[in-house]
Amino acid sequence: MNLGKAMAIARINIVRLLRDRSGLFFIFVFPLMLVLVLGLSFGGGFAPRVGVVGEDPGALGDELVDGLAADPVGWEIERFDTEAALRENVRKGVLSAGIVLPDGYDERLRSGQPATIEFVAPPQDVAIRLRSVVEAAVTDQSALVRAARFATAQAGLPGGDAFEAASRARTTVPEIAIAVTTLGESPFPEALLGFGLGAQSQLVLFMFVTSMSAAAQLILSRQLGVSARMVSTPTTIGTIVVGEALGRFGVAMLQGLFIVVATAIGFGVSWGDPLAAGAIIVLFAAVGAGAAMLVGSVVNNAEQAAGIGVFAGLGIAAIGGAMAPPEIFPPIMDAISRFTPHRWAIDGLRELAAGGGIADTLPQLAVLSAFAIVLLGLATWLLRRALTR
Amino acid sequence: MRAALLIAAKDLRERIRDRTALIVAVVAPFGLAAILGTVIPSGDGSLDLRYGIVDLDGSEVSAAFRSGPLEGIADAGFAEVTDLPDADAAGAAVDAGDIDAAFVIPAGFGEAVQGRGGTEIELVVSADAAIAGQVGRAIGERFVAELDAIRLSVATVLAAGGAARTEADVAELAAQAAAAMSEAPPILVEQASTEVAQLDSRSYYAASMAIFFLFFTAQFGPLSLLTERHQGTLARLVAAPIHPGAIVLGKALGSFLLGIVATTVLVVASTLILGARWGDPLGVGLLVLAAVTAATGITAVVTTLARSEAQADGLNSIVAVSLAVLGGTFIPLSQAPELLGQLSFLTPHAWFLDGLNELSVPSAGAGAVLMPVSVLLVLGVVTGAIGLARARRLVVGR
Repeated sequence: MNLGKAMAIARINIVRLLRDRSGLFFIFVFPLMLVLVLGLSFGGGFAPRVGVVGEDPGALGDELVDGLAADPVGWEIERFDTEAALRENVRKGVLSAGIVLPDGYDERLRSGQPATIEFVAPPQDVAIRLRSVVEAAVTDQSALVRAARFATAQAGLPGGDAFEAASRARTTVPEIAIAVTTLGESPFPEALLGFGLGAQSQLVLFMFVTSMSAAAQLILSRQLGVSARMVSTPTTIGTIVVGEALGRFGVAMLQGLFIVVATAIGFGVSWGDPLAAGAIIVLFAAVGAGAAMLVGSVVNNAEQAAGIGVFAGLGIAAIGGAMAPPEIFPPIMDAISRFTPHRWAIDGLRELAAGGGIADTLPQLAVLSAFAIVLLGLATWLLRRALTR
Repeated sequence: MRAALLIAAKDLRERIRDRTALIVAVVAPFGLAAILGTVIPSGDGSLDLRYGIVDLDGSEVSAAFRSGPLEGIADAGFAEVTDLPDADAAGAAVDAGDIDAAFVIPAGFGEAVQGRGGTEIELVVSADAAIAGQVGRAIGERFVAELDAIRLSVATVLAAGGAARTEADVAELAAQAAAAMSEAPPILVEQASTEVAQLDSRSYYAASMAIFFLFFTAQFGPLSLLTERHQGTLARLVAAPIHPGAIVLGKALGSFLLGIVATTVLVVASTLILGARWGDPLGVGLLVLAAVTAATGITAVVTTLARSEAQADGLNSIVAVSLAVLGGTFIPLSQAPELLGQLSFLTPHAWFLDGLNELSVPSAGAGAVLMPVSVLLVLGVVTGAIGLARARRLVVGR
């Protein structure tokens, strides 16, 4: 085998790809677009948005809303000016729920009237969960109101004074607390918030899809007789096969490194331990190269291969958790996803984002190596056969 | 017109024989819709939370927590409650994933609540069960807020009363405060159910993949003009006694019909096989018609901007995916920042999905999609007119 020649074959493969201007869009621009939109949409860690509206909420209304906004449930509380706007946003799914305070909330409570808060939400589980938090905050405020009313009844304190007395008393009574202890590690560590989650999945998705679309090049080379000519020159089949493999590998690596660097600089994504991240990317590029060569050796219609390759690439990415995060998969899909190299690469990258090192990603690296060896081995054998036939 | 129809029919025949068209127009969108719809669960699945309770106190108060709020959520059908002997067992059960979270009520809790001391209920949550943790914390906080109300009431009166009181007075006051708790709560939360104009996950992905791939399907007609020019058959067509306008119209018609057929197949197949719910058939029909018009018009303009087939192919793909990302076909934009949501309505994709969202309301008829259909039609007619005029110049000028 002649490494110089193999590198030349690899180089020409990469140059061919870069010459295609619209191809450049899909290799460099499109992935970043998706990372941007994903980050903007879900970067807050899937925080539900809840709207609040109320005419003249007063001090008690503000206190309630501020309390809700500060709740560690991790939602975003947005104030609305009109009830109609709030309802429309709930209807459109922009808000997970809406809270409608009655007019003059504060005054109502201070004057001894009941206040009914409307919780506007579609009948979905997320609403039950959000409502329970609202009920807790409301009960907490009710305690203050009850105390004030009790003081008025028992000690004859006028309304305003009673509220002040209750507020003062609240600072002296030690509250009964709920102490939360969390066991285990969260599936979505801090490092994945923002653009991290999207960057990881798009890296894997695009490296594979680009490799697959590069399969068409190999078919064209074979059909145009370029491969046959290469064989007729004093170049061993081994050199040609290695060259083609390196070409596909180079394309995937080029794109992978670009996405890693661009998202790190542009979006502040942290990829974790560089050595381990590099190992995952190299192995995954090898997997992509193997899959591309396999398709390029077996399929004979370049146009069909490009189409099928891209759509198969997207399909495998979806199953492998590179579209929707595998953390939200139902159990069956979770099991199925482990048959894809994507899932292992994503799991590995997740480990690294959570602060792990190369030792923590050994299982993932081992599985990816196995994928790479099997695919490259099979592809080498098939390409060799296709070239010598 | 007959010539236009003949050209369209010939193009369609060619496209149907060529399997790539079938893949792009039907197989790929259907396959991706099936995968994404299965992989991504809909938000409306029912909650199924599993709690454990450890009562180390054994007082009336701790029993009230077990029989009150916890029974309540179990009866409401979204949670299951298991009694556990001690904190270690609770931790082990949470760790093993047998339960999502466990409440631990410490010994002496009841006494502390009766007195004026501070105390706490411990909630042990699995990191995998964020929702169970949130709901559990809220349930616990609500319970202790009611206990706090009694203590706070007594403290307020004592602070305001000035005069010294005996132990017995304080006990009497506490009893009265507890009795006052049976009065209607001053603040009530009332659930107002509302309709949501939002497709469920399966239907959303069926619809979004349909409109995404429609922009690839619709390229065939205009693109074949460039192919025929390249092959020289366009010159022959022009030499024949056919009006150049008819050639262009035939090409556009080919795209249009293929788009209609492919999308209709997708609607029917996703309904029957994937269980997608598209809504009122007339409304869906109008939306599909309008969307195909818009897609045909836009791809016609884009294609005529290119000089070669390869360039047109690339340019069309770029436009198709850019509009799709911005229009919320890969990622639903309801959670995106407001600006992005507003920008999305520059794309036909967003209007198409918005129309279908409106149709997802059970009572919605075709009238609900008047606005999206009009916008798509105007977009289609305007871009179509520009595209046809440019294509005609291309045919005449060759």
